[in-house]
Amino acid sequence: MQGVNVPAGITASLQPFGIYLGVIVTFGVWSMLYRENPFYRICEFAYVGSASAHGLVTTFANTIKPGVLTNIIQNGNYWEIIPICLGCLIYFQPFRTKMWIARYPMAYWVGYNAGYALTMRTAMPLLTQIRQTMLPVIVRTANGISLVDSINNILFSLFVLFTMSYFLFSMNVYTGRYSFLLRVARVIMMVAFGAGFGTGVGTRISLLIGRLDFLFSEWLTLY
Amino acid sequence: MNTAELRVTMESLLGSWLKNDSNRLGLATLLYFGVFSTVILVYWRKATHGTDPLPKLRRIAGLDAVDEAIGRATEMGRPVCFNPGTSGFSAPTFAALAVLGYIAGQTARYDARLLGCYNSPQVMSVAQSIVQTAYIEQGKAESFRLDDIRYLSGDQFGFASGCIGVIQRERIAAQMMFGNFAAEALIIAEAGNVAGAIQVAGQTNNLQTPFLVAACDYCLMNEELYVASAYLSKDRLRVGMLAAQDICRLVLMTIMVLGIIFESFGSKIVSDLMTLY
Repeated sequence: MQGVNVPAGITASLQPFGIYLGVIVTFGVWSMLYRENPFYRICEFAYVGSASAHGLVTTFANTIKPGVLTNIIQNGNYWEIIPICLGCLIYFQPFRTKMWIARYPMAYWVGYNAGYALTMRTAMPLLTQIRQTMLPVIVRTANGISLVDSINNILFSLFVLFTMSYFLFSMNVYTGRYSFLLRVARVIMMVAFGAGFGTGVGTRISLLIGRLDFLFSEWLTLY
Repeated sequence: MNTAELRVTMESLLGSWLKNDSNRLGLATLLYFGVFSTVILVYWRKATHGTDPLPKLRRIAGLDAVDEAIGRATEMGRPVCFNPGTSGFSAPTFAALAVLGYIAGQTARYDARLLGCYNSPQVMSVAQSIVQTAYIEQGKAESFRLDDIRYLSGDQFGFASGCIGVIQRERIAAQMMFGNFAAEALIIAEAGNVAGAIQVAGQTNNLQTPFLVAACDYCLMNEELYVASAYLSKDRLRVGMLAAQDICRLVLMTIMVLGIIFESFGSKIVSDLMTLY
């Protein structure tokens, strides 16, 4: 998408306005921590509205414009008018009596995506993972058997098999005296999720630090 | 004949056909599809033509809680909110839409209000049709409110902030988060938690599951989402498909165990056979 060339002087004069707007919106969003309020609502609607507007402009500039101007008019791919017409049928959606027409492009879209999900592209990563799980539980090195690597591979293999068997829904493999194995599988997954949670929290904290950095350095100019 | 000679033979037989990945899994994928499709067809026939009882599904607490959540919302006279996350049509979205059909049927039955927050206009359109059909099936066509199924924003965090607003303003009593969620998962779930809503979540993104486990009352883990529609509807065909998928999982586990055993004794025959072509 082509940008608009704004003179440097205007950009510089608008910078304080941008900082204050950023500060107001930041506090507006944080006000939600207390409760839902009009201040938050203004920020929410402004964000949702501007995000939708941005989406509309980028879709037009990156998809519709090159699709119509470049592909159809310049390159002469006139057959592409057919999917465009099919796509236009979706605009019947708001008209209650003609809404059924909008179902045709939707049916095509759903069918296309379902078919795409069934292609080999989805099965290959699965089989790649299966192959990569085939690790020796007795790891031999030049100096003999590596105990650490062997234990690592044994645990890895067991964890994978336990987790996979947790997702056997119609075969009650863990019943009766073996029901504790279901809990073991759940604990294994929870340990993995815990590690993921820790990483995720770290990422969220870095976002908060970024915002605090903006407030302290650019707004309050403390450093 | 060893695997190296077999590979040469396969290449001379098949040429470049199927050879579209760097991991040489073309033939293995085709075989996998063949076995998978056969098992699915066998169980499809068993489910539709046979009268034998199909396997019983194991209990999934998160799915049992769906009815409980809808019941609670009905008693409180507050809405149920369905959220399929920020994805267009993908496998989790298809699974989520199947669950939506059940939830819409239950809300129509108990006269609870069902709200929907959508990030994709295409998914929203399909959801509108699903909900409307469910209301008509329950004989409550007049209770269906098109405006309750809302497109909020195509932007990830615009959508998340819109969801927070809907959750707070509508004072929802239950939130169903089924679908594909990314970084907005915790934001939405936390908003539901603050609103005091009972929350059931189900999605397949491993990175976000921990947050949903922490913030929601019930959380389906990964594959459990795909079981949801069969488990809730008790539909014979869907349960049959699930049993077929379990057999495929078992086949893959067996191959994996064989591979581990052979690798441990220094043979790469299983992994070589998988990458034959």
